[in-house]
Amino acid sequence: MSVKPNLNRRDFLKLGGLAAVALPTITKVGTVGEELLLESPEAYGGFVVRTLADDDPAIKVDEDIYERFDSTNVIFSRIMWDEEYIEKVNSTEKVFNVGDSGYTHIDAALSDAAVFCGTYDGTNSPMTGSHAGLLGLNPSAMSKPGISFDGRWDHSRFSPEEVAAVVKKAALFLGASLVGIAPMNERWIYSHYYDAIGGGGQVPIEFTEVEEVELPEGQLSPQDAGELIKTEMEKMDGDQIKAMIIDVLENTDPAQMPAGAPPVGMVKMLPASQFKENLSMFTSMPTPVLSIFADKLGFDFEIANVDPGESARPRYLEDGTLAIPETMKTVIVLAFEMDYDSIEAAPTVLGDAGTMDGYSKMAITAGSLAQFIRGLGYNAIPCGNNTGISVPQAIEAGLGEGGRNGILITPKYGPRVRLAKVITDLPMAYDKPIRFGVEEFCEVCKKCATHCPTQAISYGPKTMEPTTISTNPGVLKWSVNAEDCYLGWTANASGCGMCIRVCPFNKPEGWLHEATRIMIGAQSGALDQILVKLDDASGYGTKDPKFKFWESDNFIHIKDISL
Amino acid sequence: MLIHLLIGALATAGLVLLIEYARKNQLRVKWWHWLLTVAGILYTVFVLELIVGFLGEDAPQAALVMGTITGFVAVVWGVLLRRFVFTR
Repeated sequence: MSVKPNLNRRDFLKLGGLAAVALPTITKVGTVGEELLLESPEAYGGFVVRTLADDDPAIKVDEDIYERFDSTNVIFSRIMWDEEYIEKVNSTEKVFNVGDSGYTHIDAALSDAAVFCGTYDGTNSPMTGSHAGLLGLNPSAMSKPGISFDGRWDHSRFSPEEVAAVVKKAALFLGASLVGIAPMNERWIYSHYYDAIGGGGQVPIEFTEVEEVELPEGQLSPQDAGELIKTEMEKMDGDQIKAMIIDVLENTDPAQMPAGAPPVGMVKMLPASQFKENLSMFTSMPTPVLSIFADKLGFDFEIANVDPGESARPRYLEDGTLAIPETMKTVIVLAFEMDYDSIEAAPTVLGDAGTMDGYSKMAITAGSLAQFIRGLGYNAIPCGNNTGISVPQAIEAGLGEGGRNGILITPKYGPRVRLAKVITDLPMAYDKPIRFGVEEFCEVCKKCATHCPTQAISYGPKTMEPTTISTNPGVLKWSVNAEDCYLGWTANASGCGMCIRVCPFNKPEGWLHEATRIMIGAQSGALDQILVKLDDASGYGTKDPKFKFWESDNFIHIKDISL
Repeated sequence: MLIHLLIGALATAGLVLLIEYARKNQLRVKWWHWLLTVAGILYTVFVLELIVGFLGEDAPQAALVMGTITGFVAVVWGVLLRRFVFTR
């Protein structure tokens, strides 16, 4: 007999109490019209942020111009197909020598290790292609023996805010530094993904209707068949169940087993007493496995090869099109802090290690959060850089504002974050976009533009005009010239990160910078100018990188060892 | 941690020495003079903590710049107290 979800409201309130303690405490310190003034050291650093009113768009878009962006034109895709640009990349001279500071053997090894999970088993969280590995659409039915629940978690018994609190707590537990939730805005989903690895090239991403499928007469859906099989097996004792499962698994073609399914050897090791609680792990397996169970139990029904729930699930169609069901209306945006000392070494391989580590965390946490949501019985698409543009979704989820350097500036970590997202059909409350003085500060600062090695960052005002085909027109923002930016990466033989390092919003945590944050929050151009001059005078954001990573107090002291 | 204790000890010692000095020289220090004195000592503690904080953040230039700016105010404060309060 499987365990039914029996969490009552009182139990949930206890859970909610824990969640409220464990989640960042956000305090309302005032209101301006419909806008709230919020303060939270954990979520917003020392900033007091202002939420936007419902009728105030977080991002201004010209609907006449704007079209969903084709990720074939993202610079990482163009280096696969754009021969003219590839030629430029190939003729770019390197600006370092192997063995220089930031380019030592251990720096390179660290950077490689940092991205290990980000690219493990086809994961590719840095790329804009298809979903695979940890970011797969449905990587495993169940991978851990334990208690299993049937059906969906009944979210309707809880308020949308309570559901959001549970999801946020899970996201933070699974490794996110910040989490925000927004309505899934189709505008930010790529029109196509670029399948470089599979060789499929430009492939559409479509929003699909959820259809009810009629089964052929006399046939059962895999779900109904699984239920019948389970009911029958629940009448057996543990030893009988175990023997039957082993028998079925030994008679199943391994190719028909879902990824992550427990192998026969593991099943044999489990105590017989555990099988009743784990029956749904086996009765939710693919049709060929269920058919063997049905035969062994003496059922004479036929299991339809059509899954009635298929159209509600994200999936790849036969031509490779990524189908996102229209019911997936929520996006959970995750931000991951990158190591301060590593980013201080940008633009070098050592600086890139912080970025690479972010990609691994993106894959692990987004994949795990998607699995958590699947475990609740809902659909989830974990995304790294793929499937949708991350920055506008993060802005709409209240994680920060867009900066002159074209990336997200968060109150707590500044631009020193990487982003991932999970698209889901689990309904929950949304966060509101915030303002905390970034736009006004970026207007006068321009440190990122000044120090950009390839001068890829604009000194001018925000615009809806694209700089290259790698920028989408129709969105009011500071556009970075991605072509020039990537040439800088090539010259460094790694990423760059200079615009992250020199940004005055990139400061270590602590009370020292609180006063500055309050002054930035005042959104005064004159004050901002003084703050930029003070930042310069104090030696922050200089052109030259600082190589203190291996000497930092956070790590073992090896100051006297020659690297 | 020790550095914070040291700053605290220095501030306390400074206040005790000032009280001793006023008593020994029979200075007529009004209550609001003491208020300004304590505020000055607290401000000096803030300046020292600022410098220590920036040094801990491995930002010696910031420690120098911010220490100079805020320290100048502390010095002026100290001179004014010496000239108008703790004078024989």
